[in-house]
Amino acid sequence: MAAFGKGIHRFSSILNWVAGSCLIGMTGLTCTDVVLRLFRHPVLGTYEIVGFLGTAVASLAVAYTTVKRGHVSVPLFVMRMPHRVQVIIHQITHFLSIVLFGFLTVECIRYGNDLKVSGETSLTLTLPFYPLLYGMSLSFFIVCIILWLDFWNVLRGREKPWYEPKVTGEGGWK
Amino acid sequence: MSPTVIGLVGLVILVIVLFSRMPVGFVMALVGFAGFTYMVSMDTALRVLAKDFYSMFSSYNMTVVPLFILMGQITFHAGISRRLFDTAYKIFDYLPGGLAIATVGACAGFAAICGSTNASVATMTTVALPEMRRYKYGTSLSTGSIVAGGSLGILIPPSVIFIIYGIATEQSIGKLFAAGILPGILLSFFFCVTIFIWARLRPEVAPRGRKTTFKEKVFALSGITETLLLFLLVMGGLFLGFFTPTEAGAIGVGGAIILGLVRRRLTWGGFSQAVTESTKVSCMILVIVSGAIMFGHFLAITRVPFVAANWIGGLPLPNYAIMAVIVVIYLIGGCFMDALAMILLTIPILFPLVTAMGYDPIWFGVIIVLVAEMGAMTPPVGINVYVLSGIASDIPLESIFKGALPFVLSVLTCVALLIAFPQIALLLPNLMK
Repeated sequence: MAAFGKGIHRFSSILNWVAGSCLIGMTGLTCTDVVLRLFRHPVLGTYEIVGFLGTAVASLAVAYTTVKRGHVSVPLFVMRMPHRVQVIIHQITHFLSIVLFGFLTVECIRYGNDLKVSGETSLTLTLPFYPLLYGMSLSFFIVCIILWLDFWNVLRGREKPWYEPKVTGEGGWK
Repeated sequence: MSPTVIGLVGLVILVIVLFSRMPVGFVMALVGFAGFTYMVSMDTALRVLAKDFYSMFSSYNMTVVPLFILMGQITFHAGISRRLFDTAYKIFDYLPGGLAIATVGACAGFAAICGSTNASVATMTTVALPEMRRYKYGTSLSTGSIVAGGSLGILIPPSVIFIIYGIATEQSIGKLFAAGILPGILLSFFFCVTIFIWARLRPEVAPRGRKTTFKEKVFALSGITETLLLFLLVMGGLFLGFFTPTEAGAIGVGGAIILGLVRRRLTWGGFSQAVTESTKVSCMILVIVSGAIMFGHFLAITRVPFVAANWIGGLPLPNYAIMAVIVVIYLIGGCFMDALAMILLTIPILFPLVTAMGYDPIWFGVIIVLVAEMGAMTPPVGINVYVLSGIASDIPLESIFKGALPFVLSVLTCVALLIAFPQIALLLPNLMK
């Protein structure tokens, strides 16, 4: 189980590395488009590609952000409660979060399938939208696993609630 | 149960679950989804949930968020803020509390190229706090000036809060940025006056530092070159209509990288940290925004925003009194909640009310950013205080909160002035095309 957890954390870090690469790509493409526009040669489809890369940045970073406890929360009251109560609250909120991301995982696939069937594409480059939904679904599925690992580790008393796991390698960006 | 009652129950559940330490974005999405399921059907709620996340994640307009965050992160790692502090220090050294005033000045300058309060506070804690300690400044004054100065990051453009507010309310981000400039300068001035009075009343907390010559002051001005260049490039292009906000963000990132490399301050380690931190922060923001959109859709079908707007609008109170109540709501909410989450949560209810009262939406954006600033320095959730405390762990939280208090009064004065004279915020946006 520990090796599986490490593997998932490492994978989330790799996804974040891809998200970072997309962010740099987005910057490079937009700057190139702005400069070339001065010479009346804008990069065709920049608007669409930047939108696609933006989706990759946000969705591929969700898992790493979850691992690194990067999502904003209000810890004020829970922190003052006894350890046992904290564990109960942690488990309930983690269960609810798993349900939420489980729904998102399934529905993104279904929504992607609908877009695939209807053949919806972008206007200029005619890029299909459905792979974005599949990518989002994969990221949300990883989040489900990360949350479930947290849930399991706290349930078995291996970790304290809201611990921050160590991620080896950090996917190349660190 | 009537739809309005269901909406109100949803709001109460949301507030309760928020305090369970569940991430804010998750809570808003979950309660919105559950409410939508109860009101309409599970199938519809599932599709709305997926569509809301997809539409926010894939929106071209939202790509501006990671770009401006990356720009701020790169300037932070390129050490631009340290040079700003050195310049401000040499210019203001002759004033009582000169070091603390220099800190606020450097924060205001850094805010012009970085939209994050945390980055400003983190830099100034490492750069300015040791200097103030060396000259035996009082702990409350030194930490208070850093916490307050750092909060300017979300008022002086570029500002992530303005970007999100602009997208959520369909207002021009360029105009919002322009609207933040004069109030930002005014608030920086108020902070400096606060420090000046504090140092005059209790000279022992702000001993005079070393004096610099006029020649040194003139030479020190070179320290603001990078900031000025980057600000003129990004904001100039945006205000003159050369760039869209996303393009301005990308050009800002490019400019920051070039400046960092030219000055040989940006290392590979710093750059990779900037990218990692940017994806993480951007993702956190987008999850909150997506959750807020889902919750907003639930509220819309319960008609709570319209009922609340009609009810408050129908109260026998003058408009400024209602506005004062709104400010108090934000002030109290800001003590417990992250500024962005609070703004996104309240916009569906308060924005229609404010516009119905005839207030300018751009002006309102400035007001709520100012009030959010107070939230960043007041107990118990004041994020800036925790950032400072995280770096200077030997300073008790109470001392920092105590030091921030006089600056909260400055922000309140600024809010009152903006309510009395909205032109302070609207002058520059009205000059734009």
